[in-house]
Amino acid sequence: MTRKMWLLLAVLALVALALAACGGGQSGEATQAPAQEAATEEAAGPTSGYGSTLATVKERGYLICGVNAKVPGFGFLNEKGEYEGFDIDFCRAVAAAIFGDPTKVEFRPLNAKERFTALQTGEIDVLIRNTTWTLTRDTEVGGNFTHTTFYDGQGFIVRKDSGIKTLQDLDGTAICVQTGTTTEGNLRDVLDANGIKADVVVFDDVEAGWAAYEEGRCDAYTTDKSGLVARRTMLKNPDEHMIMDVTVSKEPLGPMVRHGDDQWFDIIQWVVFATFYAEEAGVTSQNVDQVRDTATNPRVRSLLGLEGDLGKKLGLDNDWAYNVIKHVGNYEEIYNRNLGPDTPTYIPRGLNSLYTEGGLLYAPPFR
Amino acid sequence: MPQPAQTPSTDALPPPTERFTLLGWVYKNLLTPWYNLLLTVVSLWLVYVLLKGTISWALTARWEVIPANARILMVGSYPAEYLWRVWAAIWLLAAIVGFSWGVWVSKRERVAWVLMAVPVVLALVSHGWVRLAWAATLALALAGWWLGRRARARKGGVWATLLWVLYLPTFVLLVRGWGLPEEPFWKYTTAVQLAVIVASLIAAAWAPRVPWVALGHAALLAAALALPQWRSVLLWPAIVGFLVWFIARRYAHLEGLKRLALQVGLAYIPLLIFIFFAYEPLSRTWLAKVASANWGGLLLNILIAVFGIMFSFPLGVLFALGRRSSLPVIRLFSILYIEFVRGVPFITILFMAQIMFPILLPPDMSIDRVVRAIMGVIMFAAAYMAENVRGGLQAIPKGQYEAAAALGLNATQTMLLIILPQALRNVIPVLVGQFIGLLKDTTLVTIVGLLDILGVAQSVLSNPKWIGTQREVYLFVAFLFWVLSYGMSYASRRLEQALGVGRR
Repeated sequence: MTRKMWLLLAVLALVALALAACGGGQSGEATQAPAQEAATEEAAGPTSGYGSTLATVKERGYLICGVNAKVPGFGFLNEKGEYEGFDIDFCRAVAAAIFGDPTKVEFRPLNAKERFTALQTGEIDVLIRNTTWTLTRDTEVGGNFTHTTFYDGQGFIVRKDSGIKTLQDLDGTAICVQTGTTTEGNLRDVLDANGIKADVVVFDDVEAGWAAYEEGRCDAYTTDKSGLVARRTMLKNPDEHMIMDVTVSKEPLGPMVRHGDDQWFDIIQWVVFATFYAEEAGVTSQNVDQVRDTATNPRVRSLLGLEGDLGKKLGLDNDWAYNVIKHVGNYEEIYNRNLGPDTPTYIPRGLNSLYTEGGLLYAPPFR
Repeated sequence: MPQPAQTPSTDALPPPTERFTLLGWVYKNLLTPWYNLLLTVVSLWLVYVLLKGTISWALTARWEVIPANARILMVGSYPAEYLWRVWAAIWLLAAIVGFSWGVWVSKRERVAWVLMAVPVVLALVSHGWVRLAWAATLALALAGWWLGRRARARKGGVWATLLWVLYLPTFVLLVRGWGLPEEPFWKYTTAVQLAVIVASLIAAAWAPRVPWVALGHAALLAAALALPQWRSVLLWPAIVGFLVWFIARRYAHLEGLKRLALQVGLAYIPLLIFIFFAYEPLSRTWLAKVASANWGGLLLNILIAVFGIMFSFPLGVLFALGRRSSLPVIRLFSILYIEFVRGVPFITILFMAQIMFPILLPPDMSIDRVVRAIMGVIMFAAAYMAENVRGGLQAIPKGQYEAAAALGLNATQTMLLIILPQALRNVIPVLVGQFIGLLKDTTLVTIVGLLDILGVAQSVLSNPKWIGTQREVYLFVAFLFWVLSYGMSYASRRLEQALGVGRR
């Protein structure tokens, strides 16, 4: 008797569970079973239209940032389970600008194929995941790129003792490259254009190419610089190798947002600019409080929210840039923390220097 | 020339002169004749070459990468402050396993020692509070076993079943936590929803012969469909309430149903108190929601595998029955589904689930990424499951159906009581093989960007501190999967023995 009752109860519980699990199809309803809610998490949908993204983010209480969790120096999980890296720091900078708190961000690791879908469908608010700015992505894919945060490009790695420093020095050397990639075509174009006669050794397999370089069959290996950096540390004696300060293709990597919300685009854009300008003006996370007390330069004063209402114009608090600098740092600090000379993932700044030092980082005036 | 007659004494065998000695065995098997000697030398040389490299590597390998990253390999970016919830899930599991053991297993089984060795080994290799946590796991398992022994005579089996049924929702609840509902009146609507279900049960118990209760459900359903603003509030209680009423009604002749209905009715009051006073504070502090983006590592693999197995199994059985159904529409649909899914690689289905689903869904609706991956796994596994189960169904001789018919069983009873138990028992090895494959396949979600244990491993390898430790990390992951897969395989062999598969 009672046994049947228990069986009945178990069956009922299962039915309820199954129904709750099927509840995934219905979104945004009051839920009593937690399993049901699991399926309907953040039914935000794509938010387009001026101001809608910021409103969504503020209401949610945190930013959702699409990232890559598998690029040395740019994004990875540290031992504590926290995300770390150059791209990650820009996510934190946006969170700091909106909430004054760099931890109010949820990272969504994405792969190369699903990243644009995730942005289009509103699953993420902003994509900061080593994505190259191209015309197609700016139009057909439905995104807008803000100012580039990292000018990547094809580079070369050579042995330090080889004495190779410039492109011309590659004359008469053997260069390893992966076949069938744009990298190979680029390499041949660059060599032809500069009249350099080098032996191009192609490999089907990335590993085989690197092995050949390490065995000394090639004097140089070429791929994107961020890739070279990742790989250099895996060589037997990383210190014996260096990445040449030469870039032969354009891979501008930067944040991407959806079409349709210009305010949100402006916020991301100006957060990036704030890090540039803070470096230019010498404002760091260390001295920002001091600068705020003593600053006389009107541009710096408006950057830090002491004058004017720049923050309000973006829909943020007036100390948005102060928070970015205070909690995350200026561009140089972000760069050096992740890719600087003291890190295993050192990349010479090259194009990623301020315009005053021959780079491409140029922030429009803060006024 | 005639042989001299032999006496029986010379006919007897000589006493055995050859005793087993190691040297003798080696000489006989490894050194003679000459080709065995050659093989031995070559094999020894091969083993030496292989071992030399492996051992010299293993001794200099940077094994510290594993303990340093142990946490993220297990749970990914799961917040440290809520890690105790994962532990609580493990402790509960240990206690339930111990309890069930105490209730159901009377013999001393070697498996018990193996199972107990797991937390012991884990406690030995870990340190600090993690060691304590594993010790607690063992203690809880033993406590559960002790309780199970005592409960054996007092409906222990029922309790154990109930615990297992409740474990999965509890597990999800602990790992995921809960969020604050967005709807402002959720307390009242939830109270109403629960009231409908409780009332349905009470009506079924006290007035089972009154059919107009169903009219109430129908009215609720109609209201839900007619009034869009009330739909989300009324739709679920209408359906669940009706099902509860419909099922419970059939058991109305049982004495216990009234008592059960009364108990559920009484349970409604503390539930209300919980909803109105405890839910919000709890969800702000201890049971705050952990977004699925932060579920990772082995936890994610196990989560996907468990849900994949749990849901693909019944679905697969349904498709197998559908394929053998005499109804053309059902048969055709089953065949189409099975053959379509089996004709597509798993990766394609995962990509479709990750990239196509969100585009196909209406814009104001989204399904969580982990749930999408689980749906892909279920879709894929169900098709293969169906074919395996069909194999089992086909092995059942026709006489079984005829005997069931002769006993007066109808089609459903024949299937549930006679055919399926035999068919499923026959395919246990195949099904377990598929479950093991499914567990391993869960690592493919790393390709669609989820940070399962393989994804975390790749992330660890991107940490500048640990670049170049591929061998160590991947070997560790492989070892973990071997342990899990072998464990499943071992358990299935015990299950086969217990059910007598292969002996009948």
